[in-house]
Amino acid sequence: MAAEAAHPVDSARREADEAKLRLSGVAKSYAGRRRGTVQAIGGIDLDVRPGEFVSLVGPSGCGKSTLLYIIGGFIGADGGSVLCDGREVSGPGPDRGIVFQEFALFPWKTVLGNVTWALARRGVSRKDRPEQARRLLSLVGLDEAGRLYPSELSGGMKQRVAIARTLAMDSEVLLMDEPFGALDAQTRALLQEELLRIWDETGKTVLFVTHSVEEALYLSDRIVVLSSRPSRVRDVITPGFPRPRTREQVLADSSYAALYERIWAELREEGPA
Amino acid sequence: MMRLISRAGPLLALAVLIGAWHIAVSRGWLGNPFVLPGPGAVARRAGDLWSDESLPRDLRTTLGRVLAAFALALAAGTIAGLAMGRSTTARAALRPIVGLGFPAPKIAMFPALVILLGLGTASKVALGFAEAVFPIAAAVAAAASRVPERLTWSAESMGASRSAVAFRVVLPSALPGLLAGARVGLIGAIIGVYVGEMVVSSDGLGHAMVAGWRQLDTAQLYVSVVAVSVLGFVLDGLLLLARRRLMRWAPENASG
Ligand SMILES: Nc1ncnc2c1ncn2[C@@H]1O[C@H](COP(=O)(O)OP(=O)(O)O)[C@@H](O)[C@H]1O
Ligand SMILES: [Mg+2]
Repeated sequence: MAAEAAHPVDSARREADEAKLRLSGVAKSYAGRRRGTVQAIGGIDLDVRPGEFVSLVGPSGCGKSTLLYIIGGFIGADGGSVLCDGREVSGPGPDRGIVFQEFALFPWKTVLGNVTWALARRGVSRKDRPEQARRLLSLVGLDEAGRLYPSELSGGMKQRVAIARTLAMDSEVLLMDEPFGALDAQTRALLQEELLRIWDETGKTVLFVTHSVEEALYLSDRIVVLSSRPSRVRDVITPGFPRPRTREQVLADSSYAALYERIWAELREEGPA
Repeated sequence: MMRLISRAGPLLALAVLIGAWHIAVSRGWLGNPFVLPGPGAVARRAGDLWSDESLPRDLRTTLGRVLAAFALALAAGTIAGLAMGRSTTARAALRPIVGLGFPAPKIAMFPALVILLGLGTASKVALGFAEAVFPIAAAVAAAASRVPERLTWSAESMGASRSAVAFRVVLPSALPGLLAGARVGLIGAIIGVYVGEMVVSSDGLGHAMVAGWRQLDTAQLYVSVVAVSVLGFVLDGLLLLARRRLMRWAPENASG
């Protein structure tokens, strides 16, 4: 990463004593519909290093989205703390971009308008916005869709706009909640490669929720397996495939099958994924 | 062809109505033509009132008051509705006011308004405002509280300020509800202004109606009734036009 090469001492010190994200004892309960509470997150400790790509996998309903919302600062945890760059997270902020599972595009804005909106909040000058927005859209393969409204897009296209809009924030931390879930296999593969390329170029720290073990293995430095509700960290796997990597290399790696089987076995034990 | 019929439909209905009115009056089915003059007599009276400048003047007066009442109600109702929809303190403070004010007969406040604001335009605008503001505030509040949480979260995470979230996310998201409320509010503004002019006034369409009634000039009475109806129809049509422009992004143009 270019920034590290420029300030080797600085970045080495940061990496040594400062996690980009530090979760300690994060717990969260929701008030139940009738009475009592549902404990979604039991207590999660996790450090994410600067520039690290970490995936979260776990049975559905175990609180993966909830955890991202807490890190994003949209909801508060009941216990524990979340530090970003050593500072307690107390609300949403442009240092932590998020791609929601539900896309959350502004329906009254065009595709281009959605991306431009994020650029404007960041203070990009009015003159530079269209150009930058078009570049971001072309990055996710939507060169032609700029003038369409979200209601005119397929699920996969919406998801790509949501990714482009979050990339427009240029945050150092990217929180992604099953961002490729609505895509067909081909687009998904393309965007996985694109994400790895962007991640590699920008040195962003990524926390990535996915249902796909294969995806987690291909993309991640580390994979965090969560238990079922109330969730805790059940296992942390460091695949260690060399970078830059191609899908073929990963699939052909001698340890791939064993890691894949290990994660699946854990998820099976935890219940329906 | 269907398009032509649906376009011409309202005109056709109007023609049938006027025709029926004409026949009923000329056959004497409705009693004395003095009680209900025929469309021809009303049209002739409208022509007189137009050429002696009194009808255009009354129309301008009433239109100005309606627009003022509606604009003020739209601004105040939108702000109050956004606050109620987004902040629990504002909701706690404003809900009793809206709860009491919405169903209350606004005309009951008119004498007080006249004492407070005088016999002129201000008291009519105030009554029109009182009729218009509650449906707008209630519609905006309901729509603002239903804005998907992820939309406001997205904006907040991009660094949008509280006011940017309110006016650039919640407001456009609540626009369908706002426009529905505005349509009801516009009709309220017309009713308020017209009734105010009927009760205490020296000008405006409402006054012309009462004047016709008192002077036993029933044709003039109906000129005023038709004029205010046409006014309402045109303003409502403009609002629908504005909605079509503002809501182009909505799937299938979900209006109705
Ligand atoms: N706003 C909420 N109110 C009540 N319960 C919720 C709410 N959001 C999520 N939950 C519950 O918390 C648990 C975790 O949800 P979520 O974080 O969406 O899980 P995941 O993303 O892992 O599928 C689920 O049991 C879900 O029903
Ligand atoms: Mg989820």
